[in-house]
Amino acid sequence: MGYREIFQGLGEAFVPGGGPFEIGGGTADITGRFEFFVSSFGRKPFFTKIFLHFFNFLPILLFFKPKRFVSLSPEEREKFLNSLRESRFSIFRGIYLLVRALVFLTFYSLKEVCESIGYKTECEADEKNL
Amino acid sequence: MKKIYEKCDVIVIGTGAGGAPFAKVLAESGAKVIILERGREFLKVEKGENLFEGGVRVLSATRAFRGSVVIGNPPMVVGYGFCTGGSTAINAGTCFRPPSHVLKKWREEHGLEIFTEDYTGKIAEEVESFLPVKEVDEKAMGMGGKVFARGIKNLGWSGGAVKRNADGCLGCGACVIGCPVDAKKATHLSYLPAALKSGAKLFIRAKAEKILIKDGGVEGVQGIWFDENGRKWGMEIRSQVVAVGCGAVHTPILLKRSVGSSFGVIGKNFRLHPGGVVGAIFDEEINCWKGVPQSYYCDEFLKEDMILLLGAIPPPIGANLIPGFGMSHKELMAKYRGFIDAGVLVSDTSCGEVLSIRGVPFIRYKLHDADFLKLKKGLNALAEIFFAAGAKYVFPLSQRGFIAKSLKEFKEGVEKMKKEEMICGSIHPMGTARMGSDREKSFVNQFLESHMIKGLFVVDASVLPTSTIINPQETIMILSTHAAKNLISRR
Repeated sequence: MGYREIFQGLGEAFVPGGGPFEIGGGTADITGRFEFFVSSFGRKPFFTKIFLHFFNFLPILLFFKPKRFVSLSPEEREKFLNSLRESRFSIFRGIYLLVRALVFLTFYSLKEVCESIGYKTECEADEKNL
Repeated sequence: MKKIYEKCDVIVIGTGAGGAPFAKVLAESGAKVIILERGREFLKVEKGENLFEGGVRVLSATRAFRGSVVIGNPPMVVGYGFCTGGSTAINAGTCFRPPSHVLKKWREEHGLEIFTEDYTGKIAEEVESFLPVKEVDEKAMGMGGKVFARGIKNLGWSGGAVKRNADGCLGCGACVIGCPVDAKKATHLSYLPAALKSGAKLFIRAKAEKILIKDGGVEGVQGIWFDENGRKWGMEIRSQVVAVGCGAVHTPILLKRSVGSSFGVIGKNFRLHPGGVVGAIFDEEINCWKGVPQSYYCDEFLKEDMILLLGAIPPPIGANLIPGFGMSHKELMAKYRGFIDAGVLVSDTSCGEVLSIRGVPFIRYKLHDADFLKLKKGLNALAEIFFAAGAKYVFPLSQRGFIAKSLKEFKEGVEKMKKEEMICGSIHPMGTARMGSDREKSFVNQFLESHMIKGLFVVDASVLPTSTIINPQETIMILSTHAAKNLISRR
C-alpha cells in the first residue's frame, strides 16, 4: 500500500464528501497538492511517507486491533481520531494535529474547494476589492 | 576559494527593521557603508496569481520564512524573516510606537534615561514620515475591521484603526507573501534603496561568520558570499564600526561566535512575546480576506501588558483554527464568509535562552504561570469582543479545541485549558543582547554600542530590555535610527 492511499483515507476521515459542499478529502487530489508544495521547495516527501505509514499502524499499536487505519470503518476512524485528539499524552494530540494540518492545508488550498466556500484564490490587488 | 577584501567606515549585518535604517542614516551622512544580507532577495506575488501557488513560489524561491524550535512548555515555533527586508518583508506592516509605560520601565529599571517620550516621539515622527506610516482608512478596513470595532464599541472599550507602513494598500491580503503593488514599505522597499542611493554597497547571500575584534574594539567582519552564479567567495571587510541586525535569534549566535561566551548575557533574557488566537463565525457576511488583514486593535488592556489585534487568515490556515473534523467541521467551513479571527499578544515575564548546535539555533523557554494566565485573560477578552459584535460561534486555538455559543461557555472552556494544551506562536523574538546601564546585566548601552567592545553595535530586537507588548517593528526602527544618529554626532 502506498502513502497516497493513506493520505486520501485521512482526507476522507477529516473532510467527508457531501453535506454543505459535495467535494470531500477522499476524492479531491490532496496528495497531488501536497506533492506540489513539497516539490516546490525542492524536496521529496520522504519523511511524510514514513510518518503516514507509521500512522497507518497506530490503531494496532494503540488499540491492539488487527486493523490498520485505512481498513477501519468510517465510525472506527472517527473514534480513533477522537481518541488521539482527547488523549492525555501530548505526543498523540500532536500527531492528531499534524495529520489534521496536512489534510486541511492541502484540501482547503484547492481552488474548487475555496470557491465552494466563497473564497477567491486569485490575488485581487484592485480598488474594486476594497 | 577566492577572497574579497574591502574597507569601509561601517559594516551593517542584516537588512531588516534594525540594519536597514542604521545603514540608511549613516550612508546619507556620507559614511562608506557595506551591508551584508545572508538571505536571498525577496520577491512578490503578482496581480491575479493564485495566492497559494504564488505564496509557495515566493517562499520557495526566497526561503524567506524561517522558524526555530522552542523546547519547553508549551512547545512552540518562533518565526522570522530571512531575506532582504528581514521580518518586515513577511509581516502585516503594523506600526506602533512603544507604549509610554514601557519606556518608563526602561528608564527606571534599566537605566535607559535617554528614552523619554519626547525624544522617542521625535525619532518616531521621522520614521513615520519616511516610510510613511498611516492609519488604515475606513475604505481599506474591510468588514472584518468594522465588525471587530463594533464589538469593542459595544463593550465601551478602547481601540482604534491600526497604523501601517502601507499607504496605497489595495487590501488583497498578500502582505506576508510579497505585496503585489509594493504598497507595504518593508525595509527592502524603503530604507535599503535609500541607503544604496546614498552610496551604500549591498552583498546579498553574504554570511558574516565572525566579527573581528582586537584590543577591545572591532576591526571588521569575516564571512562568505555566494555570487549570482552560486560561486562561493571568502570575505574580509575591515571597518571600525560593525552593526549587527540579524534578529534576536541569530544575533546572539554570531556574537557568541565572535566574542566567546565570556559575556554571559548574550543569548539570555530571550522574550518570545507569546500570542494566542481566537476565531469566530458570524451569520453576516464578512469576507475577512477583503481589506487590510490586520486593521483594528484593542488597547483596553495595554496597562496590563497585552494588546488585542484583528487578523485575517485564508481557509487552509483557518481550517486548523476551527476545532474538530468530519462533517461538523465541514459545516462550519462552509460558513467561512462569516469567519474572522483575532490574536492577543502578551508581554512576557518568562525568560528563555537561544542556544545553537553547529550554528543552528534552538530555544529553551518555559512559559510562566503568570503569563499563561494573562494569555487566558486575553482569549476571554477576544471572545467578549466577538460575542458583543454578534458572533454565533467562538473558539480558541488549542490542542483539544472547543466551540462556544456563549461567553460563559467560552470562559469555562478556557478555565479548563492546561498550559501544555495551549497552541501559542511567536513572530516577535527579542531581548537576547539587551541594552541597559548595568554592564553585568546588559550587552549594549543606551546608544546600542557594546559596553565592552568599542565600535560593536547591536541594532535589532535583541537589544529590547523588556517585551514591547505591541508589534516591535517601529520600535526597532526608532532604536536603530537613534543609534545611527548618535554615532554620527560623535564622529
